[in-house]
Amino acid sequence: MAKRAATAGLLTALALALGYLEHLLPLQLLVPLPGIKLGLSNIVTLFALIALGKRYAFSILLARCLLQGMLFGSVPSLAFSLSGGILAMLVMSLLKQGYPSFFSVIGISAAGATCHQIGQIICAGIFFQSSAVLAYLPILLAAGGISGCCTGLVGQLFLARSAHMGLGNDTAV
Amino acid sequence: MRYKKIPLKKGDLLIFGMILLLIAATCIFLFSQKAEGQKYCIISQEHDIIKEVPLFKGKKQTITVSGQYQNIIEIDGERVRVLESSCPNQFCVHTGWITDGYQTIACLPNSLLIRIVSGEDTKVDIIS
Amino acid sequence: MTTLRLKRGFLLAVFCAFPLLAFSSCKDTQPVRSAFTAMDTAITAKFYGAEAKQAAEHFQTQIEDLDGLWSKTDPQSDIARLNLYGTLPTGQLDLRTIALLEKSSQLSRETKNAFDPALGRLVSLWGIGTEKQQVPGEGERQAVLERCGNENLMITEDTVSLKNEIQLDLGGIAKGAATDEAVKALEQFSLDGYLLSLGGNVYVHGEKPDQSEWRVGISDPDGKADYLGYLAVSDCAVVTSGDYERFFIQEGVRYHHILDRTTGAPSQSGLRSVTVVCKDAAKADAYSTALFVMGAEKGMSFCEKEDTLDAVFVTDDHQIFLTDGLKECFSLTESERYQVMSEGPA
Repeated sequence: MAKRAATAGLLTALALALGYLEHLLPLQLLVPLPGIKLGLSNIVTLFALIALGKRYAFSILLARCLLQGMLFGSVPSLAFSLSGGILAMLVMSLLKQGYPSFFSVIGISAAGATCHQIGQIICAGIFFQSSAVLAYLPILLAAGGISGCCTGLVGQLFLARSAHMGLGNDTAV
Repeated sequence: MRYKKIPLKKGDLLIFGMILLLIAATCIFLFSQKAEGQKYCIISQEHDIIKEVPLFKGKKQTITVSGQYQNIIEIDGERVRVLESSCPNQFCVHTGWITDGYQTIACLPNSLLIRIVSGEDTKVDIIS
Repeated sequence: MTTLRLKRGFLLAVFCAFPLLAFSSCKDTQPVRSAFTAMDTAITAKFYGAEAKQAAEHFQTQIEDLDGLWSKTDPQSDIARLNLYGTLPTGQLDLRTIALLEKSSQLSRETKNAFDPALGRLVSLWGIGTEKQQVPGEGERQAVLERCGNENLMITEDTVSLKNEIQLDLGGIAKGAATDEAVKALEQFSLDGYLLSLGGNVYVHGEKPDQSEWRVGISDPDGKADYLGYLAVSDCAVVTSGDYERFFIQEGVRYHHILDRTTGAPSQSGLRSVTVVCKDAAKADAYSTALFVMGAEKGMSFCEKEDTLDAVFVTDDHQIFLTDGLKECFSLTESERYQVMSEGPA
C-alpha cells in the first residue's frame, strides 16, 4: 500500500515536471491558441495505468492538472489539460487491455497523445465558442502523434530496464 | 538485459494507421469547409492574395506587410485593423477596425487591401 | 480482444465518414467575389448568377481600363495629359472622357458649382492625403481660386480646353462615372444580382439568392458603430460623402477633403455626411459632394426640385433628414445617438 502511494507521489511529481517542460515549449508558434499543450505527461498516466490501475491514474492526472494550473498555467490551460488528459486516459485504459501482447507502450502512448489533442480541441471549441479551432486539428494530431511515439519510446526503454522496480503488469484497480 | 530493437507490436501499426487516417480525414474535411460560414481575413497586395487568415474569438495575431511602405496588421478575435503604417496619408490606420464582409481597409501607397469574407449573412451587405 | 478492436476501428471509420458526408450538401449560393485596388481606392464586388465569374473578370478589366483613362497620377491618362497641355483636340481623347467632362460641366452648372470638376489647384494646395498636407493661408487660397472653376472648362466639337490655367480633379465624379460604364457593360451577362462598391460608391442590381433585398449601410460618422442605419434598395447607386473619409488633423482641427469653392476651404455646412440615391451613379457621386457643400436646408430643397434623386443628410447635431423617396426604405440602427427628423430642416 505504502509502496503504491509512494509510486503515485513519484509519478505525480514526474508528470508535473513534464508539464513544466511542455509549458516551456513554444507550441504557440504553430497553434496560436493560449493554453494548448503537447501532452507529454500522458506517458505518466499510462505508467500509472500499468503500475497502479485506473483509480490511481485518475487521481494522479487530477492532481497534476490542478498543480500545473496553479503553478504555471492559466484557466484555459487547466481546462485543456484536464479534457485532453481524461480522454487520453480513457482511450489508453481501453488499449491497455491489449498490452503487452498486441500493443506496446509506444503505440498506446501515441494513441493517448492523439486523443489528448482531440480532447483539447473539443474543449477549445467550447471555450472559444467557435468551430474554427478545428483548423488546428491536423497539425496538432501530427504533433501529438509524434510526441506520443517519442515519449512512448522513452517509456518503453525505461520499462525494459526497470523491472526490478516492481512496475509490472499490475491490473489491480 | 539484451538491448532489443524498437519493440513495436502489430497493434501499434494499427494505431499509427488510425492516426494517419484521422489526420487525413480532418484535412479533407477542413479543406472543403473553407467557404462555409467561417470568417476569413484576406490580405492582398498588388493583385495577389498574400495571406488568408481564419478568424475566430480569442485569436490574436499581428502580421507585418512590407513593400514600398510597411503596415502592421492586428487581428483581435474576429476583427482586424492596421495598427501602424509608415505610409504618408495614414488613411489605412484611420479606418480603424473592420469586423465583417461589408468593410475593407486599403493602404493604397503600399497596394494593400484587407477584407473579411464570410459565408454567413450579415445584416447589411455593404457600407456606402 | 479482436471484437473490441474491430468495433473501435469501425467507430473511428464512421466518425471520419460523417463530416465527409456533411460537406457534400454544398454551397451553390456563394457569390463570385472580386476585390482589387484601382482609381485610388479599394474596389469590391459580388456577383450572383450563371455568368458571375465572367462578369467579375470583365468588371475588373473595365475599371482598370477607365482608371488608365481618368487617373490623375498616370501621365498617360486623358486627364493627366489634359492637365499638362491645357488643350487637346477631341480626337486625342477617349469618347468616354469627353462624355464625362460634359456631364461634369453640366452638373456643376446645375448645382451652382457646389460640385466643381475644376478645383485641381485647390485640392493640390491643401494636399490632403499626401505628405504635403497643410492649412494654406487666406491669400494663398484666393490666389489659387483665380485659377479654378468650371466656367473655364471649354468643350467644343474639336477641342477641350482649360482656360485660366485651371486643373481638373474628377475625384468627385470619376468613380460614379466608372460605375455607370460598368453597369452598362454588365448588361450583357446573365446575372441574378450584383453589388459593386468603388471605394464606397455602391451600385446594387437585382436580388440576392434568397430573394431578400440589398441592404446598403450608411457609415456612422462618429465611428462608434460600423453603420448608423441602412437603405433597402435595388437597381440604383448609393454614394456617400463624409467628412471622416479623407482628412488630416492639425492643432485639434479636422480638415476634410470636401472643398467649398466659395471659401477655398473644407466645407463647413453643418453636415457630417450626405448619402445620395440615384439610378445614375455619376450624378449620385457628384450630387453627394454638391449637397454636402450646400448644407441640409439648401440640399433638401434642391432634392425636392429634382425627382431623379433622393438623399439622406446627417448633421453635426446627430439629426437625420430624409427625402420623401427614402422614408420607407431607410432603417435607423443607431437610434440611441441619432434621430430621424420628420420635419425638414428649418
